[in-house]
Amino acid sequence: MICIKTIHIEEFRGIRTLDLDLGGENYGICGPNGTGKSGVVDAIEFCLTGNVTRLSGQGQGELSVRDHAPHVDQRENPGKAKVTITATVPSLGKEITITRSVKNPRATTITPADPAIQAIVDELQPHPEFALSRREIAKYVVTPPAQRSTDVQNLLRLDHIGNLRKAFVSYTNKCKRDAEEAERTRSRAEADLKSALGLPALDREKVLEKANAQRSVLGLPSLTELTPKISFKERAAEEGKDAKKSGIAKDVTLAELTTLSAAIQAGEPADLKENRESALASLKKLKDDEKALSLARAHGFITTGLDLVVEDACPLCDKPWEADELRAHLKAKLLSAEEMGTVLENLAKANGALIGGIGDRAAGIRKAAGYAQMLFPAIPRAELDAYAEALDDAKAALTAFQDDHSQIEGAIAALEVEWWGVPADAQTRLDETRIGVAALPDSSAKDKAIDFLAILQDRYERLLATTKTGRAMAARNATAQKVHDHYNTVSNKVLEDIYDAVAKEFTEFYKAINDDEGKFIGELKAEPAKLSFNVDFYGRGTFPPGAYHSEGHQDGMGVCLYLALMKHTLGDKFTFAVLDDVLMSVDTGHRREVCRLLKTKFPDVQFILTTHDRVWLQYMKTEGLIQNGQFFGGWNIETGPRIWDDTDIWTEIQEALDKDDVPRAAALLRRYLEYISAVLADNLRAQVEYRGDSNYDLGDLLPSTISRWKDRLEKGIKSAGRWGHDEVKAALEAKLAEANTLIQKTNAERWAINKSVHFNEWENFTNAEFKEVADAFKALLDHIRCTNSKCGGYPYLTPRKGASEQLRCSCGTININLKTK
Amino acid sequence: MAEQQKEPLSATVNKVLDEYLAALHADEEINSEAADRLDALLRKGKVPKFEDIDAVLFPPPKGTIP
Repeated sequence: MICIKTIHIEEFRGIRTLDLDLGGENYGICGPNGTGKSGVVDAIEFCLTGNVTRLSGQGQGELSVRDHAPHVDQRENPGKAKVTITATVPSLGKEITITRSVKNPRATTITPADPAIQAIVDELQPHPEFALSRREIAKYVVTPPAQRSTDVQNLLRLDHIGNLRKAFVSYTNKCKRDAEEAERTRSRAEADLKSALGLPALDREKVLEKANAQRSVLGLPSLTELTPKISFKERAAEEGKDAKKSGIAKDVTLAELTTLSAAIQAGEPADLKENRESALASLKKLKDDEKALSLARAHGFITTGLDLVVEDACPLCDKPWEADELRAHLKAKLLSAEEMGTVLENLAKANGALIGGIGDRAAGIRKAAGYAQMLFPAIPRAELDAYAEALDDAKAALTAFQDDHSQIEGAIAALEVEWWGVPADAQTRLDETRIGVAALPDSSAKDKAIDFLAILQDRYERLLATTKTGRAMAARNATAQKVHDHYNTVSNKVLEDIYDAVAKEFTEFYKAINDDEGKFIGELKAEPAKLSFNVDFYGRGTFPPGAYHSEGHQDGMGVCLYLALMKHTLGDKFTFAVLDDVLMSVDTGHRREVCRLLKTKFPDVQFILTTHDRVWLQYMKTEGLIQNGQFFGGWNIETGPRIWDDTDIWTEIQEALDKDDVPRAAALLRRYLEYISAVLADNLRAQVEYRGDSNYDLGDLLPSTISRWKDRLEKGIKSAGRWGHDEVKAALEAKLAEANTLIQKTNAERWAINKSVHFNEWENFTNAEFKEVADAFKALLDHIRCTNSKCGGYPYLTPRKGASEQLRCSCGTININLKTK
Repeated sequence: MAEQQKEPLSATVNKVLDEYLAALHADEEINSEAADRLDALLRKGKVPKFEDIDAVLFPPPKGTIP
């Protein structure tokens, strides 16, 4: 992997031209929503992978990199949209430049041209997950176990393990179906033989007895042993047959046709009817759910629609609909994955029975058609064949559904037909055939014996053959099941070990940012095609993260699980990650801990962090997570993001004053002071009047903050005096005196009592009057911040809770002891 | 749906396959040569089709014409 030094972006997404100098270090990008931060994230992903997940991910069907990655004004010129990244490759100790253009997103220009470097860049291509956006956190936390299994396996590059498992499942299912079909064929052959013999069960002695009875009619010797190669009709043909005979063994045939007719007239057997109705109901339910899921995929409607139902109307079409009823309707359309699994399992059983029943019926009808054809004159068999083909189609439709669950329409159609009832025209032919066979002249005893032995031979051999095939298929099915079971056992064990390691690391990370949850544990449990994720909830047991934890905690878990997975996936190669507005969602009380986690647990990883919260950016700086960052102060379609940072603000204000634009200068100063006051209020733990909506304006924050600054200096003076640090005491007294002078010049302490100097009036000041105000605030802030140019940060109190012990900046240039004992 | 596996097998996948082969060999009901053929198939890095698995587990007897 690499560490990014610089990024150059041209005509890409919302950016016209932008250069960022990351210096291979952690880097923060801050700006309100819609200022182009994510455009930078997209540019990094595009340069390194050729793709932009935001454009190609789920539900983005109409979007594409080629058409929508260029700036909207350059959509016809994709060649102008390009990104260049310079980076170091720690493992090779080399610097590289990677350039990619939207015109040819699959190609990169890499310098220097070096196979080892090319291999490193190629390795990045399948790892778009180096960028984690806020909306993707849910992928790891609040997601169905089956989907989590897929997502996590993809991340861990374990998808091949999952794909092999699917191949074994598919192989095993097919072997099972083949074995079942072979057994059904064998069973039909057995039934045919029993029917020919007129025996309720096959018994070696009885078979020989029946055969020998007929052989004795022909004067043939008795057979003594039933072997696979036995010939029941041996020498029977020598006895000759009446040439005019139809070839139908009247008694056997008539018995079979009678049995078939009786079965038809008795109606659909109860067990088959139950299977058919239950399968039909399940398939219809599945079909409805498939529609719902399709809708959800296409429009994000069902899954998000439930949240949108806030009044008695459909949120999409405004059709009046009682809200609870609509919610129930939507919920009813969604089957959970577990329900789906049970439904499919039951369906497989019911369909198996039906496929067997339909196959038996088709075989019976075809046999009857064969008899019809053999009669003289022959009875047309077309109607019977048509019915048999319809049965074949029904069987094929059910089998097709078993192979591919999307083939649901055909399966439903097959089950909606009551296939047990024979079509009238086919029934007529069946009756005619039975009558025709019954009308055949009775054979002589010898002819009957010859026919009997011929049929017995044929059916006995068929039973032997089908039994052999059935055994082979059963053996194959057993082997298939075994290789599948072994694979499941082994892969689950290996995956469990991985998941245990990941869960352990996740737990460690999560506890690091939530020190109030000392007994916290997280568990990842692998099951075939599922990955359950459960976490402790205050010692009351482990539950899915979405069960009891707040969304902020869930997001924190998502970040921790992501980090644990990335660490396990890439190991030493985990050298950079882009966290796009991800930390924003972490509970505010745990942000500093998150900064420390990233800094201490991932010291060799370059994090590129975006946030729309300025205070967050300041946290990152004060915790030393980032040294450098960029503030995006606005965006417009013509110029893209407006770069704005706290060192340039005074220049920008001066430029507005040079144009005599006092209102603009006033707005800039006010906005900046609001930002910096929030940072300082937090750093200094200023005592601000509490607001439930957290909507503090400048008047709420700044007076309290500068009062707190003076108070902390006074506390430092007191402490220095107590410890006998006279030089420090004198320096702090001078600092306090300077603070008083500078604060007085800002008039901030008089806002409450003198409306003419209130910040609301700044825009009505003259240019000179406002210049005086701006200069005063600049001087005051310069007075507070660290003078070390490499730091320049604002001081903060430690620890964060309890009695303040120290007022310091990140580099230690400001280091004021506040302890008095 | 058999997809071409473009990446070389990861260490984890190799570990699964190593242990899988050992499990197959330990099963007396599974032909040892068939287990080796299956292992070789899985290490090709492709997702095998039904016919591929069937061919390595139940190869046609020698001398038969496919």
